[in-house]
Amino acid sequence: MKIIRGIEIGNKIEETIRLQTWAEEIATDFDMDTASLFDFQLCLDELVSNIINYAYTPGSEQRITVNYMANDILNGFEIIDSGAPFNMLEKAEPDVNKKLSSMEIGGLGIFLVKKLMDHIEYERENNHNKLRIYKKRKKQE
Amino acid sequence: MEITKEVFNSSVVLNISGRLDISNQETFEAEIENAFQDDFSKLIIDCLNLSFISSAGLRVFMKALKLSTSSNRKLVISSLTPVTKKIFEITGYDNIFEIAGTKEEALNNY
Repeated sequence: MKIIRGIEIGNKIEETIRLQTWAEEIATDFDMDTASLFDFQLCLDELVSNIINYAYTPGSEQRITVNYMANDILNGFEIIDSGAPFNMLEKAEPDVNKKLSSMEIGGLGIFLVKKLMDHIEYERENNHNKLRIYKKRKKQE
Repeated sequence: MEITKEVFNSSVVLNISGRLDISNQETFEAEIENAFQDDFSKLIIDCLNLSFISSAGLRVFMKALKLSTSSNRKLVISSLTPVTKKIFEITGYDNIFEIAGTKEEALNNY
């Protein structure tokens, strides 16, 4: 799938604001429906905050690349980081029916990504994590 | 994100608007902790103008629920819109929280 546009951000939480603004620009420029934009923004928030919080040695300055990709049927984002290997597809889903006291919060973001996306791919290449999340394209109404 | 506070008799309402995500969850968490310092029997978090929520935001809602349970006070979430309601439903949070259709319902019927 063709990369249409990319952005590079630092591994700081405040950088997620810039990423979300960029995603909004993508939606406007490439005719993405508002429901898809919401789902993608949620997934970017979950995945990039996980990278910022867990992938690197605390205090080290790193870069995270996010690319927008599309063809006629699918569109989505590729998130690339050079942190510790992490394949979210191998993570077990949390039991959302568990009692409040025993429910884990950490796995909830990954659970949401799996539920909201139509297709997810992971690859570890040249010491980088490459995660691609896709949704089927809908025409803006 | 912006939060405004209203007081109705023994109820406190926090009206949350805008986006609630990883970049501002700590602000929201501080507001929640601060709200629990007040004397009230019911806390309502009204989400009529909440346009976006991720799991970082849900985590703070869960914290609010724990604080309300441990202090024996009621917590009601009101006015979820279709987009935010969807996230509560997917995660099962709609079964964990008391959710009212409107702020008025939350004030009068819960």
